Amino acid sequence: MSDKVAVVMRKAPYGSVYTAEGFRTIMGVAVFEMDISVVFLDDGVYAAVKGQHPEKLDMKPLGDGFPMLGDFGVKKFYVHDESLAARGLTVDDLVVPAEVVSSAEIAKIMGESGKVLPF
Amino acid sequence: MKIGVMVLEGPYQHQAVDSAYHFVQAARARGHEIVGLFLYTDGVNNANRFIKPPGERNISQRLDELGAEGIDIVACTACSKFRGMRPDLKVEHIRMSGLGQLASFLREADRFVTFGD
Amino acid sequence: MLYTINKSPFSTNNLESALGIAPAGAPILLYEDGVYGAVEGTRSAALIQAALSDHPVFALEADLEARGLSKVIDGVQVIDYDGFVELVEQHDVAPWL
Repeated sequence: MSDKVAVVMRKAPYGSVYTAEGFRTIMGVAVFEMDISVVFLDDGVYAAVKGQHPEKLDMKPLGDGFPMLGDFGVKKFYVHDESLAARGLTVDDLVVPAEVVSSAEIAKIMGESGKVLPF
Repeated sequence: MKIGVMVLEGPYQHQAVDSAYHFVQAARARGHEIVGLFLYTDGVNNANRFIKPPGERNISQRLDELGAEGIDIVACTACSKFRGMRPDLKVEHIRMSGLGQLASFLREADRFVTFGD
Repeated sequence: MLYTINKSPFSTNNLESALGIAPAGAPILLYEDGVYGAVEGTRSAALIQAALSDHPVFALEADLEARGLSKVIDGVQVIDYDGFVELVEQHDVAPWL
């Protein structure tokens, strides 16, 4: 029995449904008072970049939702340092003030959560 | 040990649900309890009772059998709406519920395994 | 934690990514198309050969056999679904989809 879970976002938004479902999972599960850590890794960092405008695709913007997750008790956001650097991004390019963490720290966060939901 | 499982892909298109099925069978053979099998995103399509593959494994029937044997198999309600997977299209032993059910599977399970693309 | 990889190393960077995060000692399981990473003599074999000094590496027998793969890198342990479950008994799971 544990309330902890890590949602690990590794995929880019819009090209597939996973970012949208990852976000929906975070919100849907947070309502039930789970202790959630959100990790942006690999192409998952693109899920949280500022300035997403999918209006011409007739889709809903996915980045906008992350800042309001705090209202649902989701406060722990982490982003992988190497994934940001590889994409020419910094944490200032993201919609949430995520903590910039190393590979070893991500392993630790996942290990402490015990359960990992990949999106 | 209590094990929860989630499937993110539909039938035949991807191996995910097959892997999940074999994993669940092996886990039960080793005496573990499957606290729940959550069908999420396209995974809800695995619940379709009209699946009739000529000469091939019947994925929804296999899941239905697992359900009949007492495994709680849940297709996400919202994902089902998005995909037109109406309750009357489902096999008998899969029910629909929301993310609260996923939260309880997560809470109850000692281990949680996701199969997907 | 058990890191599970289901993609061919020729089509995604998932194997590399998981190996970059997995701490020394963490077991790696290759299954579905992930088993292509376990084959000897490929351009990607070096990834697993290097990983073997830090990690126990497993490949799922049913997925190897289905794909006609018999030449597995020395040191990679071939396991069946029973062995997969045994790993899950011992470790939490980080699925690298």
